[in-house]
Amino acid sequence: MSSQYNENGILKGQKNRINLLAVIVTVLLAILIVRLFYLQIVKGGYYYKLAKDNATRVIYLTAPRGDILSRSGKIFVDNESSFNIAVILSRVQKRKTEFKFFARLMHKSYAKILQKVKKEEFLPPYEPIILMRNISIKELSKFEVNKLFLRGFFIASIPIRHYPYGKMGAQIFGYVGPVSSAELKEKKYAYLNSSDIIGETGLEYYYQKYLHGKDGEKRIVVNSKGEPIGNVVVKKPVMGANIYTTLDFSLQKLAYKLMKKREGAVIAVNPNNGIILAMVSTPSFNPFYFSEGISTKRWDSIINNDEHPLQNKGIQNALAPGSTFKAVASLAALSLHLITPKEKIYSGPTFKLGDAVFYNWNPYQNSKVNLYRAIAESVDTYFYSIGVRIGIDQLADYARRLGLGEKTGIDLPDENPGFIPTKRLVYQRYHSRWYKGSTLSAIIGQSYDLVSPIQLLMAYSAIANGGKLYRPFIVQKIVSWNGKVLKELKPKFIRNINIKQKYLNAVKKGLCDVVNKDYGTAVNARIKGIEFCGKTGTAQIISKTYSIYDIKNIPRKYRDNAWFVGFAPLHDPKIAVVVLDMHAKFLGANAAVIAKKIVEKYLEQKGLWKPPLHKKTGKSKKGGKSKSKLPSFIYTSF
Amino acid sequence: MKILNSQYAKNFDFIMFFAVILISVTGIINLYGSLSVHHKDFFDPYVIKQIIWFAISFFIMFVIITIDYNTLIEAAYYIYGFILIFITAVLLKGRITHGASRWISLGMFSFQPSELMKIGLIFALAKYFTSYENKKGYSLKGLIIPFTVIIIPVLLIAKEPDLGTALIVLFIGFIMVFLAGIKKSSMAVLAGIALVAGPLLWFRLKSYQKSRILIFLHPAKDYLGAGYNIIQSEIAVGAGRFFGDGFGNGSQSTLDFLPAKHTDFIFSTFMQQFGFLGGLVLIALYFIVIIRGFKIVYRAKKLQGFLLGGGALGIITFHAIINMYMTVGLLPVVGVPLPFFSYGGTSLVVDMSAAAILLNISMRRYKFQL
Repeated sequence: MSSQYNENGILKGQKNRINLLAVIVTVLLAILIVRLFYLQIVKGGYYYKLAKDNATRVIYLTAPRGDILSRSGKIFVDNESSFNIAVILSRVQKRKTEFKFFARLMHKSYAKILQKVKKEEFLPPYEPIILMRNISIKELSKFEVNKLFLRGFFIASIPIRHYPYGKMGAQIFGYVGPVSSAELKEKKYAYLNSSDIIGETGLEYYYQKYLHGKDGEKRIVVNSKGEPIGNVVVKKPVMGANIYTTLDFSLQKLAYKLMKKREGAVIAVNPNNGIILAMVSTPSFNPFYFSEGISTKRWDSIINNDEHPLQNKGIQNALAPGSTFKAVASLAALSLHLITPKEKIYSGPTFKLGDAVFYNWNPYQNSKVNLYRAIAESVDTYFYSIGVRIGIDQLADYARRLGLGEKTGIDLPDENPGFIPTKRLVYQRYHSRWYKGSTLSAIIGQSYDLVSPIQLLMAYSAIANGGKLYRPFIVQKIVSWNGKVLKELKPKFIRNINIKQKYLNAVKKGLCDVVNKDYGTAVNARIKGIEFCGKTGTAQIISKTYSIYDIKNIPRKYRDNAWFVGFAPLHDPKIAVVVLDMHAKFLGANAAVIAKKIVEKYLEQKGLWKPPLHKKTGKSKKGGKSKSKLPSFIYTSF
Repeated sequence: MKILNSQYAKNFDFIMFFAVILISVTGIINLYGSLSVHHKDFFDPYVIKQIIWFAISFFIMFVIITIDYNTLIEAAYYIYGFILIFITAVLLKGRITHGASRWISLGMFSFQPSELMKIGLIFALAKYFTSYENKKGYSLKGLIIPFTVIIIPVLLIAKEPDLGTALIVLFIGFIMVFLAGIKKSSMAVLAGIALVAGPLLWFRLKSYQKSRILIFLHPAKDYLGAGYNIIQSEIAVGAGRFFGDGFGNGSQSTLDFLPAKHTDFIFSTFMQQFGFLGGLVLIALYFIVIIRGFKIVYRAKKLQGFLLGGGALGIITFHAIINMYMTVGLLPVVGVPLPFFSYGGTSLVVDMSAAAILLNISMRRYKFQL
């Protein structure tokens, strides 16, 4: 850069300074280009993704959950639309006036609504905040009329779980709830989003994967304020699959009706294949309250209820089987040749073993009885005399053959395995050695014996069907939204119980006498024209040193549990039923009446039985009740 | 007319002139491309206003070119004094209304007198240094008056408060002192003062000013707060990659993630739309303007032209480099527009005037030989 005029007024040093500055500026621009290269070429992909993330929001479209149906397709659980009023804050123009107007319109407190909004304010502004859930038609129409004045407010229709029969079978179907952050971290729930609901118990939990379906996805382009600019549905949601249970709708309803006011469980099963026909547990709860997250108050009231409404007592509860265990004891004694069916053994009101005295439930018992009579009248002392001759491990072996003390494998969560004592197990579990007297208690289903109703039912089913033990199951098929059968469950034969037919037949005869002989303990459960067989049981809650059991003066929770488990008809059995009536006011005989009603209903449906014609309004059962003159003051274990 | 004089026309720096016009037109197009999606309209007020400002500043440029810069230097103290009064008035008005005190509203447009001070200052200093020429370099004593001339507007502007502009005015003043010549010993003393004054100044800063500097050092620390601007700007620049997202597709600006997207961060919106390639072209245009500017200053015949041109070039160069550096995270965020490119009338007028001064000097470099 030379110029012939550069001497004119300008110094050489000044020109050098200009050159210096030019170099500095050139270097600075070069640094800028290097920086741009770094940002755009080296890290361009990274920043590109950040820019896209900035501007897109993914909204998950929750797939409607599948329905739970009876075997014939009657709906137990489905979805319904709940209308909620929601607001998108970024669309509200004048917050204060609009919220005040809304509060006045809906007769809500302005402060409370503001509080609700505040609580959700960490959400991005395009995310709707639900102000009112499950509004009534009246509120809906009021809102619609004034919609124009409420910019940013809208009706959001959200599918929620619907239970047409309320509490009926709630523990079996289970409840759903918003997925927790802990659950989201689990591997098996990798397909869930934070806004999903999830099956927490029962079938909802066990078949969660099928019921859930596949969530869809909507991508929203938003600006920096979070205002949606446009959106694209990327993935449509796929509805969850429907679950067809094996439950018989009318039987299920009847079972719940009969048990509603009691604490306990009823299960009915087809003894020839393990198909569950009915299953209820009471008291029950309303699963609806869980579906949107249960309030602490409600949760506390459910969890602190000592009748445990959340527990499925049919499978999650193991307790002493009481006299229903005598069928097992009989099979063991017969197989071990300790007795023959017709052999008569003297059975008095008490039985002495060393210094200990064991009582018979009926203090007037004083005769020789054979096995049939002993089962029919539930003679405790008869079994005590077997008890002194049988080893506890031998007894446990037969109980285990029948599936007692192990999980049945039913397709429901949290099954209780129960406990059948052997010397070793008792030592392991209770650090106690085995006393001979304990065998006497065990043989009448007390002391350490713990079984769940479903185990007892499957054991009696095996007796009824000639020795085959089946896995019970409650879901027959799972059908996708487009009718494709995703899963079909077949009866599963577990094993042959390996007991001779003649012994089974002998015990069955005894069981039939329980109901059909006038001296039986469940005469009130007699069904005209059908051989209904079964066994009553009464299980003590606390061991009593006294022999008089006064039902009126004992706290409810210490009252005995009443059992009945049975099947019908004797030959070619179609149904087996277990009834557990906990802390019952009336004992085993009453549980038998519940079982009887269920059996009658089922056989009637199958066309195998007709109710007596002569009484049109009154039911024949009334007659049965007058026959049962059960002395309520007697300590019973029949 | 003198402008049509063939000698003037021959020496007129057309390259620089067209580069400036090209940058300005690109700026208007880019402004249109960076509008928010929901008001993308050709007659958008931003675009229309900028076109009007372009026309106004083009006219001012024309006026400046036609008047001999020596005549303008003669009036330097009046220009300086007038703008100083202007700034004081704005400041007082702000004091009274407790409002923002940078702007003067002119109906549809508003104006920032502190920006104009840059022009006023280079005229005043050019006049002073040519009036009291010192070929051996000024001592500190000789610089008392020029420093007073610099420091009065700097303090007033800093009081507005507009620290960014104040600092730039200070730098421009220093550049002119540097070009006029300063003794090495005096330079050392000044550097010493700067070292002491820097930390002292830190305690005088307003908290948002402090945070801007801290955030520059650690932007991720305050992602949604003060660090937000710089992070969003870097995202916009980086997202452009090599070829850019395309005209009008800069999501950072169209979806308003980028603050001050029309003014301070207009460069980032350009970079997202046109990528590294577009960036090279734009930087090349600035390089042309600046290098032509250096050439003009270098060839300037008299000290007046040399100093005035140096100051004018300083305005453009400082603006361009500080703005681009700040958008890519090489400098803290200061409110400095990108010359000819950012939305905003005052800065366009100031930068166009600076360019016009340079063109004026280039055109008249043979004047006295005719």
